[in-house]
Amino acid sequence: MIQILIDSLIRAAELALLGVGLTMVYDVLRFPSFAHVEFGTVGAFIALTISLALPFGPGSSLVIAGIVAMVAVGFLGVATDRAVFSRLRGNSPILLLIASFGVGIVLRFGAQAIWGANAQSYPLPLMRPWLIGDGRLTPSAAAIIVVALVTMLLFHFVLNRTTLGIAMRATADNKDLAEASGIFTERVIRLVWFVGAALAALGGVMLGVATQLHTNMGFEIMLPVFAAVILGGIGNPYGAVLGALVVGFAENIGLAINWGSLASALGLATEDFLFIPVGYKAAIPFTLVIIMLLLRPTGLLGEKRA
Amino acid sequence: MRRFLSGVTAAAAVAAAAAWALPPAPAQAQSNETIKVGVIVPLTGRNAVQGEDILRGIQLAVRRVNEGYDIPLKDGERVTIGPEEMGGKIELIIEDNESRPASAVDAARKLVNVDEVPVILGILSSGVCVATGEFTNKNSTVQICSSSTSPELRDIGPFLFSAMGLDTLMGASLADFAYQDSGADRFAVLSANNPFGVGMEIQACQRLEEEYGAECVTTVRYEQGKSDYRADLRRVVSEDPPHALITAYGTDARLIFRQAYELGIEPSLWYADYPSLWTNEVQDTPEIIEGIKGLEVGASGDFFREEYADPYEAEFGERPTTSFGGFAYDSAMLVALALHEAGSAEADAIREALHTVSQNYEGATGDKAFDEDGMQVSESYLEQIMKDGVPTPYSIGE
Repeated sequence: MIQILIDSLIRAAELALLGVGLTMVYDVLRFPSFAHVEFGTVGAFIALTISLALPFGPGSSLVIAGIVAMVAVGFLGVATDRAVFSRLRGNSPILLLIASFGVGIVLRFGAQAIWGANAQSYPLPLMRPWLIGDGRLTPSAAAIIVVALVTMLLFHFVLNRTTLGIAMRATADNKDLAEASGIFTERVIRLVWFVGAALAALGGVMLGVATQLHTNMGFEIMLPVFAAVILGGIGNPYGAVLGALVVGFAENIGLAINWGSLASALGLATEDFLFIPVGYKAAIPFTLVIIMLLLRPTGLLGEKRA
Repeated sequence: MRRFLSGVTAAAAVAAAAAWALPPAPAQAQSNETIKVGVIVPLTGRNAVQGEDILRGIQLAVRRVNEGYDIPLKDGERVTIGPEEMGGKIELIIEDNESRPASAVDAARKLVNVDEVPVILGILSSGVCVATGEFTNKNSTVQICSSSTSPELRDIGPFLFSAMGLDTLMGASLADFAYQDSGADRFAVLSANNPFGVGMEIQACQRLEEEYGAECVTTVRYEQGKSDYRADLRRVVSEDPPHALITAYGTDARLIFRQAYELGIEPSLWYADYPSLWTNEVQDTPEIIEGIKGLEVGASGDFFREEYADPYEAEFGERPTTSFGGFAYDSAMLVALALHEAGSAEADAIREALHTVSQNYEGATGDKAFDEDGMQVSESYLEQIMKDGVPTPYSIGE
């Protein structure tokens, strides 16, 4: 049981880091960026290249490489905005959405052109897991959870306690009014791209640490990330974190539950043991999203917009 | 602008007309010409290591017959096959399928429609072999899959051949090995959710049940190329089985074994088929496979070494990296023999000749006889245990 908790938290950490940036961009620019998860892929590979070049131990090399990758990908986020999205401002969200698809493909296959199509891993040593009850937690997995937690707290602080955060929220709330109040909204938008892309890069590195690096890694996690963001209420960073937790737990608990007694009570099956085949894991968050959209279209923490 | 466009259109029309007017290429290969043979292999993606080995096997065979080579036959004799006998030198047209069936079908389409090859070689996985086989059969092009083993291959059509014994043979052999070695009566199965993996699961469980009265308590089919297999692994051990059968590819296998290790699952849980699908990929972390027992395909005797492994090392500077290159080598040798037998580079003639020559050819990887469906009649397997990351010969009950 503890294993499920651990696995769910790892999953939630990855989803939250990728989801927060996605929801921020949506909040300010009003379109879901399908390119967002690709910043994670690019960040993970940049960190790999840098960590292999650094002379320190594998752990500290990766920490430095991860920070450098975050900054680099942050600037990449700003660059894509300047090159593509800033030119399309004021257009319909559909147009921006399609453009983001294009940017995503360019990023994904750009990464493949540079780093190749083979799966790679960070040069981290194999770690013996710690035993916690009947669950096992590797030091790297613990690091992922802690990093995500600290990042989310920092993010919360920035959003609420700094002028920057207030400017961001103001821009998201009402761009014209924010501009009239003397906020340079274009600068805020650039910052949103920077922070969002950097967080995605961090998410990508964490995903790479937990599993392995592949140029499809971002694309593969895109649907669960969107599920988390929509569940939480798109546009709300706290919702994205909550959604990530819900998706992380739902995926793992859904597979662990024995549905046998429920199914026989409903007269659907007679087996004592009835588990959801593992291949259907990806369907679990979407079942939740469908239910959520039917019952509460704005998501858990979403609000109706004027 | 309009004028420019109409100019372009006119130029395109002229070019198209010119292409149309060109005389068609002669279909029959002459002795001083080249015979184009297509190769589809995964040179990138999860099966890149295996793909490279398969390509090398084919290249070794083709280099030999293009220079003239005495191909061994079952009666101990050898027959000299060179460009003279084949009606020309073999030219390989190599396509990378990125370890994905969709790319493989694109490659097959290009080889058949653009290059008009009579034969396609290579091909690792059953998912790729089935997908491309449907296409090549419709277009009457011979395809010999070097290491695809799904029983589905049998029903594709007359132009599809397999150089390796199907999983009806492997699944049963793996079940025999696992049961006789462990004596356990409850097994879990973890297999890739593709024709290869599912084929193994069904065959092995059937054998365990019918032959030994043992049971497959959990069967998990994992999705390939995922970034996390913890849930799959938890399910595998959920019923606490003493042992589990596994079939996994390349970098997926590396992640599965690493996550299993991190979840505290002892590697000795596993009985694996075709370990050389992943032994190279886990070289950096041998601990995660220490004690896994596996059933490998192929040969290991003196004949294999002298005929294939030593020349391979001389050519490529290392021992064969997987067990699959030898099968690809044999498939290319069969094509050389068939070109001689048929006296033609037409796909249909090659197809018929393959049945004849396979009965006599002494393969580096053993008997290569095709049955009426173009599938291998028999297959030889080697029992292994992983020690310090290296597959080591093992015998049951050791």
